[in-house]
Amino acid sequence: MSVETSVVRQRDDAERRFLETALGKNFFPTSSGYMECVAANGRHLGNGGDPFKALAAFRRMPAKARAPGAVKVADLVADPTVAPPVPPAGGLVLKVHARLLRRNEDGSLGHCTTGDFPLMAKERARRKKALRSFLEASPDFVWLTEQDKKQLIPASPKVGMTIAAPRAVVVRICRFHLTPRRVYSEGHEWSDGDVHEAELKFVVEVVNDKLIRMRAEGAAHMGSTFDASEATTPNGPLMLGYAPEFSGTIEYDRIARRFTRFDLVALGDGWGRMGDANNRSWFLERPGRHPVGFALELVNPSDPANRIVPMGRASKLRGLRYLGR
Amino acid sequence: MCAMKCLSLRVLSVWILTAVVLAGQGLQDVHALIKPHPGESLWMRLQWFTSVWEARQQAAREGKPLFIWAGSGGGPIGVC
Repeated sequence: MSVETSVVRQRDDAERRFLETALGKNFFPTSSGYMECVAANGRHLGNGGDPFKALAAFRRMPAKARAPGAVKVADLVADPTVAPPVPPAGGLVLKVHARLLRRNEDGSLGHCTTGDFPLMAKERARRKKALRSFLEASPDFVWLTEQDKKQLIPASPKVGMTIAAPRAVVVRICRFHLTPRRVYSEGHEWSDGDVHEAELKFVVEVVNDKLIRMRAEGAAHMGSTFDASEATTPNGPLMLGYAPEFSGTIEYDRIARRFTRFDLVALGDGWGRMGDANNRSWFLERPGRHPVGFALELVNPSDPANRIVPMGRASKLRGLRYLGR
Repeated sequence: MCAMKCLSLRVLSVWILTAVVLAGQGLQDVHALIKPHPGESLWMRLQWFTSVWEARQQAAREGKPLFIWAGSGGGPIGVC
């Protein structure tokens, strides 16, 4: 299972006591990442870095302590004040995949390798192998309210008609999700003043009794303005900037009265400082400007894995007024 | 000045998309390129719980241990 450490630590109920008892001093002392294996009866089986060892420890437990049904776990009386937020009822959940890309010689885009990052050049092979995970797609989630969703459905659709996405939705996507640093961190959403341009509109392409299909268009610019002389690494003077174009296909089922497709791409160059927690240049920084892509898709929030809060931080959702409140 | 900068950035972004289209990569190609590929993010194939208690109840019912992966951004299936 996957949890946000800050939310777990805020709880004052049987769930927290279960983890504290099982993990002891390992009970998430910081907000960093942890992997632990625990039996349902609260026995600590070991560090999750070696799950096979933990599984072996589980199998050595007496059968009466680990057999199916042997441990009875009553329902938890949840404290709603510390429960993580849930997606808005009647709204939409879009999963975001963020990835740093490279420009191939033929003009096509491709996946990066560790060789594309000069700050990784001196690292040992084992470290490079670990850093490769940051070159894969990084997940995030966008929440749209029911009101947001309704504003995306044209009342009297006609081919060629253009619908502007609600300003609040566009700014929400740009400000909280379209940051290149999201490929390795839950931090560094843009400030309000960093969003210089944010335009997203939908052009109706197909209309019939069953379907409305729309083409997404638009562009955005967040952060600094590119300056080749300042886009140096490491620790060059140019701060982070990103300027994507939007493209996509959105489909609405008029009979079922729900969106069935929401494929959106934000693609453009990013540049400037890709820093660590102290904003010192980190391994994923490159000099100049390079393509960064975000792919959004509609997902079903009935799957717990699709209910992770946007930006992965419940506290930010409230503090930054993510949904405008 | 700001309008000029925005215009130049828009031109740059359009150039990227144009170059990509000319290289034969359409919207769906780019969408798929960004998303996880086979062999990547293998942990996403697991059935993840986001509630410790629900996971504990399931583990007790099935006679299995819990693997807990915690992080500040919601663990591996979240942002961090």
